[in-house]
Amino acid sequence: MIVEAERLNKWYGRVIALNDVSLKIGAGITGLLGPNGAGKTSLMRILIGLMRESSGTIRVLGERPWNNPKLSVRIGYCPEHDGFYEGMTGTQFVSALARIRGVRDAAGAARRAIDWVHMDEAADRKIVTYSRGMRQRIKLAQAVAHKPELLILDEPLTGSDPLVRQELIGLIKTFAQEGGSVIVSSHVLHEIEQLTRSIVLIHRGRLVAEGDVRQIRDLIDHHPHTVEVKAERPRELAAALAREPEVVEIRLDNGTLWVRTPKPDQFYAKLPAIALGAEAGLLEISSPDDNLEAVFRYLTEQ
Amino acid sequence: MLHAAIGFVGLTLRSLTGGKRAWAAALLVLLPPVFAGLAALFGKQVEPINLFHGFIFEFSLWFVIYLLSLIYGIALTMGEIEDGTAGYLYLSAVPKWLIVLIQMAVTTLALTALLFVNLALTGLAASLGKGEIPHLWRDVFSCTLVGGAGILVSLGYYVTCGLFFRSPMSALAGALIPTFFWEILMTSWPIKFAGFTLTNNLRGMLLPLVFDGRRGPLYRYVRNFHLPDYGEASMFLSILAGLFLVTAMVAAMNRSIEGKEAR
Repeated sequence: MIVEAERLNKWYGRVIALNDVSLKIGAGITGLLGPNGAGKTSLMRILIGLMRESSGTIRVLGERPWNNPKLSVRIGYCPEHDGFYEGMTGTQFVSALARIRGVRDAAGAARRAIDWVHMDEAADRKIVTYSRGMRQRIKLAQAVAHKPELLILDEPLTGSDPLVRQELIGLIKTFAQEGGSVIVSSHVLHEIEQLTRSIVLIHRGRLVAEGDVRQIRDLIDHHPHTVEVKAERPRELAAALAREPEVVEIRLDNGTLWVRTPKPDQFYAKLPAIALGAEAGLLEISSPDDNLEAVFRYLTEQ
Repeated sequence: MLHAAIGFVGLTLRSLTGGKRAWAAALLVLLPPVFAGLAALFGKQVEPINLFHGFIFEFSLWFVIYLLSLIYGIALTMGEIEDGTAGYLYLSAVPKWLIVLIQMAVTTLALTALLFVNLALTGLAASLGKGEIPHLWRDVFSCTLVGGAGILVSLGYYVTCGLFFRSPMSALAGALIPTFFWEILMTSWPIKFAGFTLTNNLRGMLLPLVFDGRRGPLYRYVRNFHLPDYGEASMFLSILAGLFLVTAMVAAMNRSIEGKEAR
């Protein structure tokens, strides 16, 4: 096992960040999925030994991470936020961090890591001049320069444009194919789906579920969705929708219809025709359930 | 681990020389010489030696060492956490206590070198147009050594504050309030406790090294209490430096790098 946690808790004063989390993470790529503020970053910081757990036990690569420099150099960490020595060039940054992680040929290791993330052309530019995508890639380079066994990536794809995103996904997969293990966090399901099928769901500091991403996808697809519908004549639309078998509940609130349906795809397909038949004047359709928060709410309510 | 520790020396030196902090330090080092030069050129009946010693007492071995230590002491820990770079540093082959020790040693040496520049320039500026100051370089070296001890103690305290407090403002308050109430007020008041301030102990060490061991007019405001002699002062400063070093190292071992989301 790469990570074994048993009844892990973390408190920030009176606020709980991790609540009785017990989990096991094996080799390969694992997605740590949860909305913002779920406790993903707290868990990652405990995994790399930056933070000490309030109670419970945690083992990473078989060792306790807190105050354990020998373990630290076996891990590569890519933080979510941009924190750099801005006056340094990319090469200097990666090389300096490789050196403090005990790499003897730090310059060579930095060069190889920078080539790996395809940053060789911008390597000698100061980091302050880098774009968002370049910053993400140089963060990844410093995380792999010392050849870690485990890579911990905190929201590595956030804010990247689609091209950089695909490139980063490719690099993370390559790292795993070459024998490394990766724990990658995100609050976007489809990002994780592109990387792995193995996921851990965390919400409000609690472990909600762990397993195959398809099970989560099924839950999203099958649990009743709430759809918000705005129309010029909502009462007429509500009357028409009430006759449809896909609709299990309708609520009219300040001119907005809230419709619950267990078959969202069929509902979306039929809605324009129903609205047209009822001459309801369809204005807007949105689904607050189409985000991960709703799935977490659903799972925690179960 | 030695290789990684050497890496920290380079990284600390690099962070010392970059950013706004370096400009503030440069300003702090260069202001006293500028004022000393102006006083030497335009002041009336000012003896260069008295001007030089006055600047040592009123600026270099007081405000300059506290402010230099404050600028870098808080930045060494709290600055790294706020900038988001502490995560990179603490994920290294070097234990946290040794990281703090290396950072403090490198910073103390670098700031002592800056103090040397400040003292030398002040001495040269004070003698502008009025001939050389006798024993200038002896005094500069002596004051640099004593000032270096002061930097080590004050840096140790400020680094401890940076590690102990959770937010930059509370760390700054924790650093500044004792400095103001204890150092500035106690040093200026002729009462018994004045013998336990960093400033007066630095002056106690300085006395046998400069002014040929005689109390000059600059000691007038400490005449009502027993100024620590060289031995007492060096003992006091050693204990204080050791206490702050150990506290900083213990604090580093116990400090979680929680980031801004914890607040």
